[in-house]
Amino acid sequence: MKVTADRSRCMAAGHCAISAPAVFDHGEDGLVVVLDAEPGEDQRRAVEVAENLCPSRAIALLDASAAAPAQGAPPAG
Amino acid sequence: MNAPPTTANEELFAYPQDRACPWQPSPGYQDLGRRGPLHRVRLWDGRTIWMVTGHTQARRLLADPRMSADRSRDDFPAVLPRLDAPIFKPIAIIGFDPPVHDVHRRLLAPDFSLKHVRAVRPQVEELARRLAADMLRAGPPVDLVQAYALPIPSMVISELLGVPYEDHEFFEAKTVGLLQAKSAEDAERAGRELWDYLDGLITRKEREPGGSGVLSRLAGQVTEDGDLTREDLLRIALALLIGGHDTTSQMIALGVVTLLEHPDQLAALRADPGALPAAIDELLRLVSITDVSGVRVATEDIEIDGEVIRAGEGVLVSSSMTNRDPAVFPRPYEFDVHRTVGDNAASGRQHLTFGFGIHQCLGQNLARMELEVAFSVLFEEIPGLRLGTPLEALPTRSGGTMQGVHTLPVEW
Repeated sequence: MKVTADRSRCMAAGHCAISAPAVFDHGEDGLVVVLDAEPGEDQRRAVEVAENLCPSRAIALLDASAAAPAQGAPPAG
Repeated sequence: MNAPPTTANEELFAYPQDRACPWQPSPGYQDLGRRGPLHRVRLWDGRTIWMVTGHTQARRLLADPRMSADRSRDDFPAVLPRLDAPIFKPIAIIGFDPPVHDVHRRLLAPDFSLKHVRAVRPQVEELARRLAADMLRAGPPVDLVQAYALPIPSMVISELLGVPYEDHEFFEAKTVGLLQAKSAEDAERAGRELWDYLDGLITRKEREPGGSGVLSRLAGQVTEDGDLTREDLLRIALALLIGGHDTTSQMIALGVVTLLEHPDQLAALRADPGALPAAIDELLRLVSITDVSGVRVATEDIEIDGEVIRAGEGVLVSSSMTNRDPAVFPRPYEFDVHRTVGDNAASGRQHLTFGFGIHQCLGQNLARMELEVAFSVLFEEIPGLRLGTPLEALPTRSGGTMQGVHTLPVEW
């Protein structure tokens, strides 16, 4: 799974850093920073929550499990 | 510009309607919510606007760039008489569209970030303990609003902005005057007094650069032909001072009422302090203190759920009802501190009390921290806390959107 965060859309609500702290943080300017752009499947639920909560649609989850089935990712819960 | 829609139907639902219970929406809103997600309602001035009670529809509309938040537009609805006051028309940040909105919001993002909120938490804890100790010393009965619920957010926002707390009685009273005004004239009078006060304060900060707080920092960034004019700074100061203390103080007050009236939930929370952050969002969802997630005007025709919101029509999103959409929140009228737990805890933030889209509350994480500290310290220091008056006798606010109580007598 790949994640992206668009700093030009970010409004610093902070939901991503709360729901997926291993994947997202924010910089000195308060805007989103991606800590892990290709997190493991154990982070899927947390990243989905972050994507859903982001009010300015800055977070995107690019599903690598469909594109790269060789990774043997468990099915998404 | 499109003419506002006219009212042909005298039977239309009249907005707003008062609550019968401090933590539940008015019976009238509950009826609307049962009928569907989108409704036409009539305002005080006879204008008809849309009222949204469905969660999915609300999120879609609040995130739609064709919905304008620009309060200076002629077709922007004034949902209450006070919102017709000139002082409210170009209110900073929440009343602007991009690109101005985004520029001003980003100027403030560092001061309201999670890191900053976590850094000031110990000071807020110390403040709450001091206020609780003062209450214990004074002895019951105490008005919890004046003794605890108001001073916490009032001191926090003063410190953050660099507004002298010694002026708190003035700015608290004028804020209530502005937010509880029943007419545009009364709102304008209170708002202008706050404006003049902040004008003087910013002048002092311009003369003595290097002071602490957001306003001193921003005063050094003002340029008359750039992104932040002096008038912009004054408007931002006004919006942050007003937005920074009244809603949070009333959320503390009504949150305490809700917890005391649900002793099983209060006991569950005491037994499991780790559930507090999620319980705060459950309280925010339930109480919906401003009872509005956002007001907008459509700039183009927008199709949604088989209806068409026409360009020039106003839209009001009800937070209390979108927060009770059963598709998102099963058993929506129940207060359940364990509604979201474990891996799912953050999803309790789906409520729309802080709005959605680019205008979602700038101070939401500061507010959550203040609420966590306020409830945990209060029930720890005064475990025998109880209401000093029957629930039905609480002096609740009426006739507006900002919920709350004028006073909250408590005993122990």
